[in-house]
Amino acid sequence: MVGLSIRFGDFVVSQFALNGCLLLASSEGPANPLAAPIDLALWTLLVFLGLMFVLGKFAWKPIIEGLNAREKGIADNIESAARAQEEAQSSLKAYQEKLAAAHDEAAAVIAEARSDAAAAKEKLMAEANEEANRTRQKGLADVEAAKSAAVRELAEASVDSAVSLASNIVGRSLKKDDHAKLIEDSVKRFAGS
Amino acid sequence: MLYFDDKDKTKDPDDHGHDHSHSDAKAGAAPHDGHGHENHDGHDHDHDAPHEHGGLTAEADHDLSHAQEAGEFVAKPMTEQLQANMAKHLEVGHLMGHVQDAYYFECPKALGLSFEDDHGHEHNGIPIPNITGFTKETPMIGTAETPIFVGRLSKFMVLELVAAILLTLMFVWLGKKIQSGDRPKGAIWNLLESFVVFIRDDVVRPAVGDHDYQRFLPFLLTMFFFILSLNLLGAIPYLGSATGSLAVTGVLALLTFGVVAGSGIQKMGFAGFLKAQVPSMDLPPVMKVILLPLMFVIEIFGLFVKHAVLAIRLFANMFAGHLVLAIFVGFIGVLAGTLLFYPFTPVIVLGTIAFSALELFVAFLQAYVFTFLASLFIGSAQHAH
Amino acid sequence: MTIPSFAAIGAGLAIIGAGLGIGKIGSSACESIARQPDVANRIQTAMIIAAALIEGAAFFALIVALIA
Repeated sequence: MVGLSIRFGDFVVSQFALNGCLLLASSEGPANPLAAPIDLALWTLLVFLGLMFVLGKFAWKPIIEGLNAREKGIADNIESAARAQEEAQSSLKAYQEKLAAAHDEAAAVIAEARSDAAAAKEKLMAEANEEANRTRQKGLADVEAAKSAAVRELAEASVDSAVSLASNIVGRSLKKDDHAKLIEDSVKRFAGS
Repeated sequence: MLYFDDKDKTKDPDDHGHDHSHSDAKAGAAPHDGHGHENHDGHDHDHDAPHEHGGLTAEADHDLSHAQEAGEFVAKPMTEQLQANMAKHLEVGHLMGHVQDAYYFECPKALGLSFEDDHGHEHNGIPIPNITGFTKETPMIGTAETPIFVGRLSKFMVLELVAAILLTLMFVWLGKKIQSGDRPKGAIWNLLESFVVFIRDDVVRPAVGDHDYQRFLPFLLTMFFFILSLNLLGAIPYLGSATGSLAVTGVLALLTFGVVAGSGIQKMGFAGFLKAQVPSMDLPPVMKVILLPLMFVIEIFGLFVKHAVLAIRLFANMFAGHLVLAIFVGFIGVLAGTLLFYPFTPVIVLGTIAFSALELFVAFLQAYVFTFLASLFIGSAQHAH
Repeated sequence: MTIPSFAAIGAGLAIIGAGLGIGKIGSSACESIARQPDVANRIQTAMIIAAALIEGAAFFALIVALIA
């Protein structure tokens, strides 16, 4: 159907060839498809220019400006969002670094404290040991001294009594040097015994 | 654009005999109106006398007997009826009249709005008031035989004005909305804005170039929407498409040419603009002397041709589309009075609807193509090729 | 045969040529877009330009046929 009508249209169009073709004349009446009346052309020119002027001033300008502003706003928003994200990322990184540093520091502090404590303990122990040793040594020395004094006293006393006993028996008094010699011998004997 | 006969409408097959006598009477009273009625009437008379063929169809038989009973005459074989209808409804000037400019708006005959024009012809429609007082017989410039400038408000002028007013209302409103900085809301806002953005980003910017496309946006946007609205007004039955007149598309193409040449000369100077039309080629000097002037002439000629074709393309597409629609609807008139009327009219109506949908697509496509090519021409005038 | 009928035949021939040309452009463009969908926009542009040029030549033939 379409094909038929188009062919018919071609036929119709070809009929106009008979009329000839006056491009710029409206005198040919309704039969000239190429008729271009000048009044219609001039009217079109006026309407178009008027429309372009009015729309250009009151429509295209605000529309284009508005669209540009909106696009710029969206671009700015995206950019600022990207910047904010970047900032957040960097501050997060800084915090993480700080946190890690604090962690390290704490570990160091703990380690130091631990080593300090160990050292103090060591020192205390050493001091205590030394003290104890010294006290023992002193005690031992005192005991030794007391013992030797007691032995000497005992020896002297026993020598004296022996001497007095012997003088009594011997009737003669022993000289001072003899006393000393005797004490020495007896102490030696005691000690050896 | 839809076809309705001015005088004897497509009528009920039963009373077409009656109608013919009426038509004959009229033809006697009034001179023929250049729509081929003379031929038609002569035809009738030839076959009115010897009606011994009888009917080729039951329908015609019935008609014949009916007419004979009533003491009237008529009834013709179907082929005669079809030929007579064709001469009337598919007459070239008549079909053209529905597609071309006029001094009245057509209306369906059923509305009963008929009037007589200056020549005493009866039309169904609303006449456009003659504000300036000029007619084709008494034009502003020229004589009745060769009217150069009639200066009377016509249908296409009114349609252009309507289009301009509608566009102004819509886009000034859109401009206010967009400038408010709100998000786009609502169907109309989104529709108009997507069109504007499409023309700007997908047509003008790539074709003209990122650098100076902004300068040409007002011109090209106005061009697109003006053509589109004229095309779409043409898609409304009984209105017409102003872009179906070479005067309209010619002016639009001429304006495009003005912008192309003006911007090119502004950019490169007159000599530079002319020189930029010739593509630079690597040729031996001898060939250059021969070829360059030839190329120059061809390219300058091509520059005019490109813009002329711009006008003709739009005009031919709209004009031919509407003419085909008129012929489609004219087929109903051709089949009137025969049995073929009943099976084929629904088919023709459906075909007309389908073709109208195609025309709707063409309305958008041609507006796009015109704007796109205008952008390309402007773009090529900005940069030497 | 009158001059108008020859003109009509000429118009028909011009349309055949233009139809073949535009059909070829359309088929090549479809193939190219199928092969490289990412440059579809540029192919489409080139297609419309070429089709417009052919159309222009066809319109010329039609006008000559009309004037004849």
